[in-house]
Formats: sequence, C-alpha cells, structure tokens
Amino acid sequence: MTTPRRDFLGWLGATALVGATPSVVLGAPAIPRATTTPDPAPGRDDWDMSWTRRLTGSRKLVFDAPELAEGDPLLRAHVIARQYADVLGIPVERQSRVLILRHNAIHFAMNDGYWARFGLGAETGFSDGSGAGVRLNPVRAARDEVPEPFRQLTLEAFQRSGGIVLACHLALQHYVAPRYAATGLSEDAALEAAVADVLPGITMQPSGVFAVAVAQDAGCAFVPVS
Amino acid sequence: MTTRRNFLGLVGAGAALPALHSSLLADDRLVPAPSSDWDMSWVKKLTGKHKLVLDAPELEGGVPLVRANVIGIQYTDVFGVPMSEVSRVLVLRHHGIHFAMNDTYWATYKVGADIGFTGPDGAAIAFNPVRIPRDIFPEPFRPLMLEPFQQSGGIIVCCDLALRHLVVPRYTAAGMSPDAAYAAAKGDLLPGITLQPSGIFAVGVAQEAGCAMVPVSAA
Repeated sequence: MTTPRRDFLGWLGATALVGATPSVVLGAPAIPRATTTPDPAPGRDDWDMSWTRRLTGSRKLVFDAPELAEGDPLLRAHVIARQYADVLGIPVERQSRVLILRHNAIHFAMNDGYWARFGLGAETGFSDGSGAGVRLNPVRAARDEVPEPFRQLTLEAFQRSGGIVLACHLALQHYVAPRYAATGLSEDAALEAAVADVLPGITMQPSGVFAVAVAQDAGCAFVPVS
Repeated sequence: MTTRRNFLGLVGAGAALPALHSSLLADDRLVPAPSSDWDMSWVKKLTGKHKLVLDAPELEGGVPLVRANVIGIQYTDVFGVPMSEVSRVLVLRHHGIHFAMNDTYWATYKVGADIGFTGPDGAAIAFNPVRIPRDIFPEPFRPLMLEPFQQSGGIIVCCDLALRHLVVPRYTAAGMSPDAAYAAAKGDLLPGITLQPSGIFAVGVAQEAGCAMVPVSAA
C-alpha cells in the first residue's frame, strides 16, 4: 500500500467523511451476476483480501452493518443463516457469510478494553442489568443480561460458525482513533493503538462500502442488517 | 408515454408508492405500458470488469459523492484495474435528487438554506455544492464532485418520482402550472444526468445488469 493513499484516506476520515455530515463537505437478479473473485494486484497494496477466497459456499451473503442498531446486526447475521438452513436445507457450513462493520457500527469491531476505557456503553445506550452502561463490547460474547434465545447470537459465535467479519478503516480513523488521540497520543500512535484494539479475526478493509462491493463481485447477495 | 407519466405523477403527488390504494392499482388506465420512452441506454455502458451501483437517497453533507469517487479509486488501487474497468452508476434519488439540479435551481429556490448547506462563512450556499470542485473545499475533497465523477466515466441517473415530489413543488409554489413546473424542473437537471421512472427502479435494473449494490449515503 502506498503511503500517499493512506494519507489521503486518513485525511478524509479525520475530517468529514463517513457521516459527520458537515453543512458542506467542508466543515436474486434476473441476470445472474458474474461471480469473479478479484485478487489484489500483486505489489499494489497490502490490504488483506484473502477473505474473498473463502467465499466457497453454495449460498453467499454479505451483511451490511452501518449502524449499531441495538445489536440487531449480529442477531440478523445469525438468524438468516439458520433460516437458510431451515427453509432451504443448506447447512450453515455450506453458507458463506461476510459481516461488514462500517460507519457507526465500527465500535462492534473493538475489544472490551476499548469499550471500557472510552465509555462506549453509556455513549451508545448499551446497558447492563443495573441500567449502567456496559464496560465491554456487548455483542462480542454471550452475556447473562441478554435473554435466550438471543444470548448466543454473538460476534465470536458468528466467527466460530464460519462467518467472516470485516471492518472499515475509514470508520476506524474517523470514529475510533480520535478517542485515543484525545488522550494525548499522536495521530499515528492513536491509529496504531486503535488497530491493536480491533478484535481478533476481523479483517480491516480500505472502506466498508468497498468491501460491500467486492463481496458482491464474489457472488454475495446484499443483505442490510442494521 | 403520457399514461405512464401521469401514473408516476400521481404517485409523486400522493407522496409514496405504499400510499396507493388497491383500487387505484386495479384501474387499468393506470397500468404502465410495457415499453416506454425512458432512456435506458446507460445500461449498455456497464461494460467494466467491475460494476457498481451507488445508491444515494440522502444528501448527507456531500458524502455520497465522496464515496462514489473514492470507491473507484480504491478499486483501481487494490485491484490494479484502470478506472475504465470500474463501471459506476450513481443513483440520485429521494432527498439525493437535489444534487441532480443545477446552480440556478439551488439559487432560485434557496435550497442551501432550506436543507442546511452552508459555506465556510456560515451563510447558506446558492449553488449545487457537489457539482464542481471549488476553492471553498479543502483538498483532497475538492475533486470528489459530480462533474469529475462523470468525467471519469461515472454514470449518473436520477429519480423522476423524487423530481416530481421534492423539486417540482418549488416551481409550482412560485406560480407555475404543474406541467410548466415539471418541464422547468427537467430543464434544470444537470447535463448528462439521465432521468429514470424511479430511483429504486434504476437500482434494480443496475443489479440486473451485474452491478454490486453499494449504499453511499452515510448509512
């Protein structure tokens, strides 16, 4: 990946792109889609696109999650797989599922330490049994506060069942890294710290909408889950 | 086609497709004919190795244009394909329709003040903010505008229902007859933008033609 592109996208993220909404930018198809699985151009970039080669199921779905939506994206990502299994008789292991955490949903890609340190629970309205903001990623793993049958519909369970999780680098730069920078870190150090707090197994993409498009290039049906 | 145009006009005036009463749908006079005079030639231009339909139902501070331009750059960067191999259709629909209109429309009907687009001095702008690169925009946003998108091969289509429902009433409020207002509104569409019976129709057709669906309004 070339430095100028990183700088370019970083500038976009640090300023107004992806929803800060300044007053101006200033301040099942009839014709089957071609299912080409694009590979990155050798030597052109270092974004990890290997996830496209794992899209080998008889059904392929890309789940677009731009909002936290009280955790619904994870529930929907799980439920649709079960429905494909129940209704169409296609076991989950024969489904290829890609969940894209972008825009405001980037926080679901972050670990418990990030949620606790920056008070994301209170900020985003996720509370524990006492009504206090949670101090952990509320969709990462099963929590007692979540009633059955929803309790097990978590991000880690999605990954264990073969689901692929991607996250938007622009959203990371715009919504996450500034929190670290506000503690006194340099811009570069803040981004590095943010990347380190991304949950294991989540692959960063240049942007969420880019990944949404590439997944469809690879044959996925588009499914909005926020 | 007059019958179908009237049908769509009725829908626009009534606010939304779901508002149509079943009795209207059962009226044969309102059923559009199977062929039409809508320009669908843009579909034949979707010849790239990669095809994207960029759905913009909201203005979102100009983010749809930024994303529409950036995603093309990312495709060329990551996959090493020229921009000519990335067919891109931007669909300006719903509130996004205002980006399809020229500077005269924005100035005459004070759209900037109406929907909250202000310049660096805090004053409402009197032009289409995403039409061309302007000095008021900092780099690297400046080139990520509508005309550069078109110049790079991007196709732009827009929604006739949104035009009728969200744009034409501004002309009628100024005293024009409905027919004159519709004609004037069409006359104020930016060059190179193709009107479609609806934005979601175009979104559907683009996917039938092999495009990946990409939401480019913020969420």
